[in-house]
Amino acid sequence: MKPIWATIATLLALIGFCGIRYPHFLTAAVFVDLVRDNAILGIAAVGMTFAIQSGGIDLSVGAVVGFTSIVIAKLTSNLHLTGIAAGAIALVLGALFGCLQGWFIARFRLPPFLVTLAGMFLARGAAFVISMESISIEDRPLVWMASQTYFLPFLLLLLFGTAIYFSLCVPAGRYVFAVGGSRESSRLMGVPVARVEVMVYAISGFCSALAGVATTIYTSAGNSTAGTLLELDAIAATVIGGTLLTGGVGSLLGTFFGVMILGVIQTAITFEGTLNSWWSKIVTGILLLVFILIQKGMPEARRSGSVN
Amino acid sequence: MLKLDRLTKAFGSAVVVNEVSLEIGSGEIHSLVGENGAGKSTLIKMLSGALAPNAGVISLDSQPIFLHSPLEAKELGISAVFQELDLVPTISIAENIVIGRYPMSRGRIDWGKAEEHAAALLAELGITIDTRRRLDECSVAIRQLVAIARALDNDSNLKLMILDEPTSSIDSNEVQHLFRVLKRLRDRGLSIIFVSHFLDQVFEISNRISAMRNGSLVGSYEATDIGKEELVQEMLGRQLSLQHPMAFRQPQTGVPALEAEGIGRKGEIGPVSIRVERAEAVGLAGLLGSGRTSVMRMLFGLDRIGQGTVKAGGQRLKLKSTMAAIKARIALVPQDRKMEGIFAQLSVRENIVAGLQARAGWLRKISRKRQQEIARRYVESLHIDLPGIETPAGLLSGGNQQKVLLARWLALNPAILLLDEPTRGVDVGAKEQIERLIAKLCEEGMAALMVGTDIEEMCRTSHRVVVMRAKKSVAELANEEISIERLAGIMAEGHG
Amino acid sequence: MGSWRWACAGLAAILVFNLITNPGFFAIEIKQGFLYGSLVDILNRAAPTMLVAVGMMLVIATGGIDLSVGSIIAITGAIAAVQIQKSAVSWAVIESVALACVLGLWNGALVAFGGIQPIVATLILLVAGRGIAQLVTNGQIVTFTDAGLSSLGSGHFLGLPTSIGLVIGAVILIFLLVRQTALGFMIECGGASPRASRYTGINVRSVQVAVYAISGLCAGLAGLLVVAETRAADANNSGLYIELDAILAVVIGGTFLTGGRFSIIGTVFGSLMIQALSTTVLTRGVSAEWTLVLKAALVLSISVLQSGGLRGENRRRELG
Repeated sequence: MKPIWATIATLLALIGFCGIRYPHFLTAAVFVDLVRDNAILGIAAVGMTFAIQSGGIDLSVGAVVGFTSIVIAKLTSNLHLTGIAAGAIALVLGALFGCLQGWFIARFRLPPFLVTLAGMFLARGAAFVISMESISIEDRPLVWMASQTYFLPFLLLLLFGTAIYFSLCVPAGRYVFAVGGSRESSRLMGVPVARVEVMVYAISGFCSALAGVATTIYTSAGNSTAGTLLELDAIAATVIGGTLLTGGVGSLLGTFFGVMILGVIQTAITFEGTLNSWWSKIVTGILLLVFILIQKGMPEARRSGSVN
Repeated sequence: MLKLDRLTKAFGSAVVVNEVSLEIGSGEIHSLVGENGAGKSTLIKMLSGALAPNAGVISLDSQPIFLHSPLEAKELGISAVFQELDLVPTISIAENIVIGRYPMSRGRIDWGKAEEHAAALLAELGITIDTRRRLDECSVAIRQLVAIARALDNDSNLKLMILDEPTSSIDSNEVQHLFRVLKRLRDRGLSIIFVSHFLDQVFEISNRISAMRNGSLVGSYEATDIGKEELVQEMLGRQLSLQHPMAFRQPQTGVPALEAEGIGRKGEIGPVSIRVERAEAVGLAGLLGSGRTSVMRMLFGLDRIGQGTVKAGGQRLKLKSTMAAIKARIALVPQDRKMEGIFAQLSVRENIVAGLQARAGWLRKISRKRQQEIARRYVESLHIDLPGIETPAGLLSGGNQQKVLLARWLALNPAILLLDEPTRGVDVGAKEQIERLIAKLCEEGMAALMVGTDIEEMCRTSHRVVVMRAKKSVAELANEEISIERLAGIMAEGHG
Repeated sequence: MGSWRWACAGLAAILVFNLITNPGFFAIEIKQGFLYGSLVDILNRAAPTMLVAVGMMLVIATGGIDLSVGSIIAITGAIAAVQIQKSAVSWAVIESVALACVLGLWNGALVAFGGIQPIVATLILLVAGRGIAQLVTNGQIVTFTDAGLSSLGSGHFLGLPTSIGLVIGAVILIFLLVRQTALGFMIECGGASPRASRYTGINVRSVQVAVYAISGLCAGLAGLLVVAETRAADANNSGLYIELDAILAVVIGGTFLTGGRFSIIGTVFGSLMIQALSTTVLTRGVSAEWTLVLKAALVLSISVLQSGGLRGENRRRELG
């Protein structure tokens, strides 16, 4: 069984369970909210999926979100840039930041978790240096975007669409899987491994920055502590979505469902009323364990085929 | 077509390939045979651009070539298919073939075309398979053929294909299939270097055969000009220097030290029966792949024993873990010194006391002073050559590392010493010292069971020899019966 | 080969820098029989990190990593703060520390018997842990007034804050545990080559379980210190990111992330160095935010240096 079926089954089971238990669950409004409330996580998870598929991990995601958020706020409020320009600058910074991390990983063969850990310190520190205070956003375009219910869902779906296309139909996207599956073989087959690694972290940095932009819009404020521990949820969504933590296998579609699973759990807990928010962390942890165990039990069982 | 002129490769002071000169014609299948450590893999790594030679020249079509990477070699038309190493297991068959040269249409990868292309290529090699399947879901034989297809597809000017042990984990039907493919490719003018330890297969497929031993080429023959037995002798060494003939093989003390009866695992190995007596050195002979290392692993509790019994000193053993074997006073000097033996980071002292400490348990730490005493004693008695006992063991030469390992086990005062190729990758001086040491230990009452690649060495150092073939023990020779010709004959017979 | 001397030199460099630019840094006052001053402050603040780092070091020496220490701190803090409301100090302490040990065993079991990569195995508790802590505290910040427990964090012992004495004691105990027995040796063997360890008869799995349990225990004690000092259990924030500081301290202390040799003294100096850096930044009036940036620079430069060192080692190994 492909892991993505386990993800889909889990999602359907959860939705079914909630649909039976809470009469108002199966409505369009709930699902729009589901996508909107989890857009930030979803955007970050796209970058994380690429990082994990390449055999790495990106722990700097949440910190980059905070950094982007405060940078946008500062640029619009102090330098009076328009929100669009500020957002664009933030996205470029995020991608460059990712490039730098990728360069350290590829050039010095350092463990990705260590480099992105340093990246996390760096981005969060830089965010704090810029401002410890939360700055509210008054920029017109950003305020307009915040008022549009469908803006974040649209952004999320657009990003997933682009990323899926990139990952399935563009050679550079395919190389990510090859490098994650076997770095050494990829090198022998002529895949530019180092460039792929730099690219992966650049994508992840860009996605984190985009998640930062989304956070700024969603909360209508720039906050240097935004996105704290977001990377953990992004990793969880990716793994629950069937991406192998050892790299090489996985799909963005799975990640999308993974994000939705986390979202449904959250929504269910809200609907329940008596349950508290921390249950979502516990349930996420349990799901993570289950999916890791499923992954662990998989590859050996599937060797078949013969010449004739 | 391809010519090697005195090609040499050394790692530090160890010469692994020594002045090998060889010619490979176009449209021939040229087999390369030799035991572990003969230098085959280093040689083909140099040919495929993965390693640079220290000296000597490779020329292709009379042009000297200098390869700095496998990619460069591929561009010149030399492609190597190593086991498992050159494909990505987690992506599809089709993608493994087209990666790097995806067929594109309107800016995107045309998967339909890619799959068609891969299917067509594989059909040419005689297999029909859904090319969208992930490679790691396929059998080894298919992976092998996918790798060949990729090599063929990659270079339209492919001149030489190197296959490293392509048949080691596929069944006989699959071997036949592979051979049909190879012969067809040869008839198209492709040269193929076939590295294998299955001699029957080598004779079946080759035009020419070259044998290597200890880093040197011992000879190149037309496949029709040489017999199997003769080839085995070439591979394993024939000159009888007999520096220390095992002074005509007395022991047979009648006191059993280790008795293995019919041990094995269904469908994998066995049955194997071996009996080693006190003060006796028994050689376990057999070609590579005959199952000799598996026997050692079973006897040391590393692999499960499915059936049969093992007794040590008359006591029946349950070998559930290495500790059980160690407690029964069995010791194993493993084959892969770097991975399975030495702790490269740790000091010689720590390497030597590791076994003692493991047996003592974590609570009873051996005092530093005692550790130093033990280490010094063995460094001295085994003539281990080093700057000091605190030197990291990884810095020592192969021979000295091997002595450190021997010291680790001798410190446990074992009754039965299992040695898996104890002199592999060791220079001549150290080799002789190790041989003498083992002989001396046996005189003192130790029972030794040795796997060796060097048939001559085995004749020289064993009281008795048990021969393995096709994962079974098939013969036992003692005293006068032991001779190189005889051993080579039994090992080669019906092998494959 | 890594060396603890780097950490020592780094610490010395920071202290010398302060000596030149701000001699007041070294002033130690005695108020009501207790010692005060920047140096005491460094020791005091470094205490929890040091404890966690020493546990982390043992895990790293086996070639693993423990990302869950922050969560374990939050859980033990929560348990202690809740239990102290209903039972005696000793019981609250024992209960929370035992739980921390169990959590460590869980990590160890996943790694040793589940065969799951350490980073993945401990991620599970990292994700779920804070939820569990909030479950215990019911989502609130639980405060308490018990003098016995809070004295662990804010009391004094021989003129120094109790936490310093406690951590020194714990580190010495761990030192005795790993260096006076053969445990430390087996940890190093396991990290240097798991396969060779197995061939030598060392029970690698038991060693793995043991180090994760010790790491959990250390985190649990650190959790007690944190909760005692603040007199409150904050499930969200206590111990947040401490795993990063701990890993940093271990790496600075000369233990390689690839496993093998470890140095307790190096890790101790490593954590002191990190804290000295933070304290220096603070006393110089630079905003505290810069410490994060400095730490990042430190992680990168040390690991780049180490990777160069590693490469040298590999080359030499090939010669053998």
